[in-house]
Amino acid sequence: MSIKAENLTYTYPAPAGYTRQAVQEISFQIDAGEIVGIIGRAGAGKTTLLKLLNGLLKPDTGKMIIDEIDSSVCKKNSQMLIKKVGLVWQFPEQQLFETSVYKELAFGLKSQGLDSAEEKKRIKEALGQVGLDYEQFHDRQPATLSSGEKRRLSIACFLALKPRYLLLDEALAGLDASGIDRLIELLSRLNHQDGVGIIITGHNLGQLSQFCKRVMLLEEGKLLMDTATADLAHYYQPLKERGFTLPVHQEVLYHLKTRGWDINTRVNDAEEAVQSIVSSLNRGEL
Amino acid sequence: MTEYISLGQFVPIESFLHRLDPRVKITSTLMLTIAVVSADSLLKLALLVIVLLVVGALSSVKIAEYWKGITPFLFMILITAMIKLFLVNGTSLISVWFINITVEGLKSAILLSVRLILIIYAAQILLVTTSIVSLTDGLGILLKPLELIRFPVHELVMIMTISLRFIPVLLNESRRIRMAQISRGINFQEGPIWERAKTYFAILVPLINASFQKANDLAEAMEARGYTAGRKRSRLNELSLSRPDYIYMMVMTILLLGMILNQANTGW
Repeated sequence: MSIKAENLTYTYPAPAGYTRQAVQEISFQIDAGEIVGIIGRAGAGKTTLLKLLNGLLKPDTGKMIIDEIDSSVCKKNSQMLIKKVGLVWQFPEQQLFETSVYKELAFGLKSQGLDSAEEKKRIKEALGQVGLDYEQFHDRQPATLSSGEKRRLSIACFLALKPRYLLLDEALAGLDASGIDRLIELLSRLNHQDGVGIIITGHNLGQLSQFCKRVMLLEEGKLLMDTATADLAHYYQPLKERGFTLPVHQEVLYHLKTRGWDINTRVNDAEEAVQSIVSSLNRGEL
Repeated sequence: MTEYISLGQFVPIESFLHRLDPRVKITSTLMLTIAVVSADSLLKLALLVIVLLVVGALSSVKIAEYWKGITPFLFMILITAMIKLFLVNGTSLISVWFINITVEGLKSAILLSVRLILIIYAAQILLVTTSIVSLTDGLGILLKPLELIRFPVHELVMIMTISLRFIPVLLNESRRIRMAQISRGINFQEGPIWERAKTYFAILVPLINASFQKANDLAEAMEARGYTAGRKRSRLNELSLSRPDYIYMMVMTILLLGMILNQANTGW
């Protein structure tokens, strides 16, 4: 089970002849249950890539195979793909429109042909997954929820469709620190407990590295880097040139290494970074 | 380019019409519209078709591109023409069951359809060759005499500028919301017509919300930059007429006056 992209290319038919190739011959494989972060400047092709993965756009050339299904032969906006790969747009709370949380969640399920008992079960599950209590929230008006709760409700709308993969377009943008922490915790839980594959775009490597095990860098529609998060320090220069800063613990290790320390920069978090420094000190590398 | 035209948006290219003063273009479009509305024979409309085709050619935009901008209105034009076709009394041409098509009805339907197409075409030529800033500048100057009777010309022009400016923004926003709702599993294509109509609330409600939010943001941003409604404002670029403006205006005036005078004398 995986998402395989082979030489994906997509060009927007822009007005006045200024066509823009948003995605250029991108190839990768993302296995089921992986958490992948995609970074890149504005206009790098991140959102377009997510739309291609979700079937909202069809690639001009190349192949996209999602769990053995060749999505390039599916029709545009294929319900089968949409159910399998949920795409949470930037500021998804702006798409809420119903008069109650229950109706909001039920709206997307209408096209699934579920009976009311199954529908209610799915809604309960989805609310539970995002940490919103069914009894407390199902009757509430979406407009009365806090921004963090709205975003979690928006994600629940996708989870109710039971996707194998969840694509999130800059989902951490516009949230306060505690909102970001809660969302990261939620995404990690969805991945670990429910096995949902997560692909999230963003600009902040520090935030993404907290829960993504793999990071891709896009630039002008091309895939420039595809690496394990632990190896980000190897890409310090190219990332810095593009305005991205490493997570603090990896940046410290990188600078120690450039000052001549024989130190392992391949770490996942601050704890591992401390261990790496301690073992370097113990080896007398100072 | 097609997307610009279909929205009736300014196309930033170089052409004779693009270089003309907006006041000249607005006035000549108004004159052409009056001529089209008052033309009461196929011959006169045919002449106006030729005039408008020449004017369209001066914009360096292909007629096929303009046609793509007219097609969204064709359904509305067809309905209007059908009403004329079936409801005008006169000499019977075809009579089947309760349907009675008359010669006058057919003529009236054709005239009306051609008139509507020409009016849309003339308006498109104006919008495609004139930027919103120029358009509102021109309108502001042309409507200035109304200030004598305390008509809020500047406010009206500002409202028009903002409305026109936000058409493509809201169109993009509605596309974005539609795609977002599709990815949420909402199906706009299938199901009974009533259910499909209901699904459009999923676009309408967030779109109206977003519009109010944008209006509020814009008002605050304008106030933060010192804008005060009703205060006299200066212009960055003063408009001035050049020789091509005078020539174009003169040709259009002679042509259209000629048509009106001819109509008065001969009645054709």
